[in-house]
Amino acid sequence: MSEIIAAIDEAAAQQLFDTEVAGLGPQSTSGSSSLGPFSVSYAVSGTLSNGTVDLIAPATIEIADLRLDWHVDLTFQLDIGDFIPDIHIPQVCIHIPCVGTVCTPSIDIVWPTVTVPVSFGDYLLTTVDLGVALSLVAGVWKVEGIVQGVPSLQFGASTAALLAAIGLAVSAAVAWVPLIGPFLAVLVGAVVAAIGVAGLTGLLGPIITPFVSGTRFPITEIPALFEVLPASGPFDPAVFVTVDSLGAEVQNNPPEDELVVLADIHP
Amino acid sequence: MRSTAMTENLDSRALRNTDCYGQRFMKPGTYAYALAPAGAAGAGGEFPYVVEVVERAGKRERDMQQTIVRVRFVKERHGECCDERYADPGRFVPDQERVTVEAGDMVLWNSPDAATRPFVVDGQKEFLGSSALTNECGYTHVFRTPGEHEYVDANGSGLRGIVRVADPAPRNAEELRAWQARLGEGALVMINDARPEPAEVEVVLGQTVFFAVVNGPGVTITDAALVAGGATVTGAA
Repeated sequence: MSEIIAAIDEAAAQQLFDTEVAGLGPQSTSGSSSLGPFSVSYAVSGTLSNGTVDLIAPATIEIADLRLDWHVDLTFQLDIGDFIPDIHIPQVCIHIPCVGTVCTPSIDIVWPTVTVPVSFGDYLLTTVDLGVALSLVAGVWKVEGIVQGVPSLQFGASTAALLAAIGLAVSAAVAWVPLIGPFLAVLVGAVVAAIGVAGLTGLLGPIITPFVSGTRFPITEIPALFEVLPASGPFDPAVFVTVDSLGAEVQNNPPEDELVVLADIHP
Repeated sequence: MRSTAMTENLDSRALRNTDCYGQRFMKPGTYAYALAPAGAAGAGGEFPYVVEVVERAGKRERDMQQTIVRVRFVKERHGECCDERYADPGRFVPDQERVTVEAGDMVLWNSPDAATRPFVVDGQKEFLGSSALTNECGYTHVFRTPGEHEYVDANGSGLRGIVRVADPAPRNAEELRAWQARLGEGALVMINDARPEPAEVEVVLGQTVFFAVVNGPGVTITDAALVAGGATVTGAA
């Protein structure tokens, strides 16, 4: 039988969530992945903020409009020759008066491979459901909300902006390449088309989703040896009970939905 | 990352795959030369390669003939030549160590490989060398960056000229083809006693300019930006 019951309403849950999400701080990771036809190395960081708590009986804590500010630094190698043909400068002959005709050999201009760095940041809003997880760790019961499943992050306008940023980055990265001028627009268009929205979402989804998916928000902690009465004198020591197990659920107790924690105890 | 500012590399003292150095040989004889890294002309040492110039066969009139010598940079082991799998040191080698031409003919040196380091042709005789163009010789350069390129003589003769390179900025495939068709056309600058004629030429991106030196004190064709402050240029116009 449950012998201790604690409950918080949505307002208190919101306050608790705001405090916890603010304490999460930025997360970051790096690695390599694919960006359309390119292999990219990336470093990405993300920070969660905001979100509106909605307690829904019997077991759902919904966080609506959870905001993730993200920033990604990408680097990829662009072999220009993969996108535009090499240039062949034909033999050039010229007549030099009193000398004769002089001809240069034909020359093949082979495009180089360049490194393209791209830096971009944006934010997205998502709605997630938290499940309540209970665990006993080192004599302390922990109550946490854990993001359930893999949220579908919508990058929306970010992809268009990032594609534009990639186009600019390609332009800047190849600016030094001799003879690139007449081909620049074609090259940028070809690279952006090769990556496309699908390429971007294929990259961003897997590397940014973990900043939301599986995130744990601490709700409360209860010592397994719980002090129910403090000591009031040398002959009146504190009184403890042992929390044997915990349960948590969302209850509809009109007019409020509440997150209720139930504890089984023994002296 | 390779993101240096775009440079034209216009310099007869540093031949690349978009450059040629040509020398016409007027008298029979044996002309030894070396292929050296840019900046190493006149450093002494051996002249292992030879242009053999023989009398013109017969008295008949004939057009000037041209022989192209292709230059490669070959990496080698210490003391052993010429395994490209090994790192420095290396050396420049021509595809023909000895070429034979008739008097009045021209030999043209060029590297077909964009990866070859800049080099000079350094002759044992003073007139032969790409870092001091003296007479009956020339330097060609494919212009690969748009803009106004001022060139001077890094040896200080006062030679100075301008090549204006227009960006064709093709807007469609037809204009792109039209531009590429123009790459087979060249422009000629005659240099006589360190005076270029014309002093200013206009080409489009990718076109070749021939700098033909009729005679002179031993000039270079060098991007003015490569000559520190133009300090070595005297008597500039």
